[in-house]
Amino acid sequence: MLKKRIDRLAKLGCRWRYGRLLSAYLDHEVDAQAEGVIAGHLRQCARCRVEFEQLRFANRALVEFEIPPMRGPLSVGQVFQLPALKEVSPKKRLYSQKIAVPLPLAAGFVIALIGATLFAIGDDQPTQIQSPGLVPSPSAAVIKVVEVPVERVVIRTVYSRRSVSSRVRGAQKEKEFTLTPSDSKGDIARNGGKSLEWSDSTLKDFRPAASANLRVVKEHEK
Amino acid sequence: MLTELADIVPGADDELLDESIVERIRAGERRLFGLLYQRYRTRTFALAFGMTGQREQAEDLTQEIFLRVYERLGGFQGQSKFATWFYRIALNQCLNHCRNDRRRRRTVANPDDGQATMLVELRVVEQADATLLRKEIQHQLRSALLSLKPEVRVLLLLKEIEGLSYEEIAERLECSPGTVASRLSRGRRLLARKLESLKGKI
Repeated sequence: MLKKRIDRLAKLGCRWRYGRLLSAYLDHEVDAQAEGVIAGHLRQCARCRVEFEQLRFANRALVEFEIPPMRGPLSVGQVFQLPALKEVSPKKRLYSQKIAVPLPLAAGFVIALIGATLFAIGDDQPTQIQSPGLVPSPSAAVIKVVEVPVERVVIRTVYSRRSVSSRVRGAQKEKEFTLTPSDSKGDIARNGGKSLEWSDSTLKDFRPAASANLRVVKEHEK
Repeated sequence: MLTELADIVPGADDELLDESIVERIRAGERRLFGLLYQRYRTRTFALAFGMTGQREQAEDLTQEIFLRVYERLGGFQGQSKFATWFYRIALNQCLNHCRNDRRRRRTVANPDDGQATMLVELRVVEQADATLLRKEIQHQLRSALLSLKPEVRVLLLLKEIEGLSYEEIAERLECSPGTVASRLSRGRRLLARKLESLKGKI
């Protein structure tokens, strides 16, 4: 049993060793030393001899393969009209070479190009030229009309002024003052007990408060 | 219209090297291409016939090869021999043709069926006519060759018909001589197996 197995392995080894070389040996493509070794092996090994005969048979069959004479035209002029030969310049050859760009890179480039184009189109939109006599149209907003059940609506603008004392301390506190324009001159806002007169000079140091510069308050008519 | 070689190439010298002819064609003597055609047409047709197995197809393929060679003549740099450059184009054309043809012929009956039919016919033919037998042998040979992969088939043809060495084949197919040796060995084994029925007749 074991002997059979060893014999089988030896045969496999033989084929592995000489199998590919047999074809080259048939074509005289191996050196003299290898040729001698293979010839000696072929005399001893029946299996390789069968293999070699197979290869020789294939060779003989190919020699038998007949190629019919060409019936086609005898001259090139009958085959095709020769157009002027295009000279391929080295520069053109360089340009005609394929340039491989990785797909993610190409995709990123295309996306960037589309984005830039859209951005440019957005900037190119014509700006509306306002005629001097027209009031600029307000931006879109929802205007809600609320009926207030009072006799008088007073509009007060809230102004603020940075107090001197705060500035000294480095604090950025702002003090709010409320000035109420009314029909009576000198209608004074009541700011912590202080009275300020309503005049241009009074307003010089004031600016509308950042939080709310317009407040609608309701007052009962006196 | 060009008809005869003498008209095409007045004073054309048979000793003129292929490379010199190419130079002159590129310089404007387009008619000299006829000389290249005369030199290479038979071998090109043999290769095309071995690859296609049909005369009409082989003739068409030969023309395609020459047309392609002419178109690319401007790009011939002379870094290799013209014959090597020519065969590289011819072999690529043949392999492309076979690949496309194989896709088209997938629906056609497989070669084994044909072989079985041929064996029945062969028995009849043996008693009849030696010429017919020869034709049938040729038919079987063609079928067996065509059943091989184009990459293997082209090697067998270059070796047996062109008589090229392993080095030359490797140069033309742009592969190593070792690859040539192993493919050739495999191709011969396959061919012998497919032509088992012809043993004793060849």
